Amino acid sequence: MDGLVTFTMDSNAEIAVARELGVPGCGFFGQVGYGGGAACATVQHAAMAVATGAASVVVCYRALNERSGRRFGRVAARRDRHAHHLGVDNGWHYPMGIATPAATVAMVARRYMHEFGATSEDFGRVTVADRRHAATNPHAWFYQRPVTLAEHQASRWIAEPLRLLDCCQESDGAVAVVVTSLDRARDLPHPPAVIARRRAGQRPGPVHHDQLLPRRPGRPAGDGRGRPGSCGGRPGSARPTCGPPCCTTTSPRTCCMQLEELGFCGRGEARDFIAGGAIELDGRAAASTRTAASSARPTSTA
Amino acid sequence: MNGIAEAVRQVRGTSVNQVPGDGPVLVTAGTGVPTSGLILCR
Repeated sequence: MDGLVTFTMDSNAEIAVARELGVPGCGFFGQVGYGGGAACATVQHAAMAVATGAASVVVCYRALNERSGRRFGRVAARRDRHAHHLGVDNGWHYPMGIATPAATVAMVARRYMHEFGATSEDFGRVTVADRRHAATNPHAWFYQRPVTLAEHQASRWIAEPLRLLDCCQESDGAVAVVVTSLDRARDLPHPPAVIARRRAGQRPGPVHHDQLLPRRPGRPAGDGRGRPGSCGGRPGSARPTCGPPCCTTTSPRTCCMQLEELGFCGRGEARDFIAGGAIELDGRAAASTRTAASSARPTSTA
Repeated sequence: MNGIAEAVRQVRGTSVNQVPGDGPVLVTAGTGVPTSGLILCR
């Protein structure tokens, strides 16, 4: 391994990880901004490093003690006072009392419900599917513990309209992904997962705020997906042929919006799409098969 | 990042919640913040 990539929100600096692991000749370091949104972008950085020869084997990683360390669900005081960009971002909503990820996302969820008539039950169906997937996974926190829609509806408010069972776990965890050339990967014991497309992007507005804008036809998507119409394929490269897609999303609320923005269904149609079984394992967009945010912390998202 | 690890398992056919078929896998990151996505295939 001669390269390391992580998130700016990760507290394990690449240079420290390389030193502590005793990695000789580590020649490529990189960090991608923010937390959960950076996940796939770390792989993009690594792939570019391998493609350009800056590194031959790059490890993308994320580790955090979100249960035993700083818990994201608790208000951290004075985060709007930082003398850097996070102070500016947080300054938009901290003074109004929106100081946790759930509270921030609650605003977007409420707007989504207002625009399209979605209900808490619609979000709950995503949680139920997530927990059904978690229940079969021995590594999931909620292994063998599925929930019903009634249990979702009976769970307490965390930040209305989001309930306890809409929210991520706060847990400690770590993940690492190894990225190398396809020739090298095909020579390894396990079959590789080939990077067919990769993309990173953001909207011009403050964090989360673009999602509050009315999402009328013709208006750019508010999900921070960046410039539409491009997913990073090389000119002339073949498009991946699509079988049943598997969409590993994050939280119930974002699952609805992402299914729409990604074109699995029309705007405002996610609730019917989901109610019809689309995110089940045999559905058109089997989602969150790993157990999902509401069942096992996805290692860094809001 | 767990989503990426699960996507690799789906591509390899080793997930405990294996989706039938051999199609590509879409991974999405958190939204509302600067975000990213991947499509992985065999």
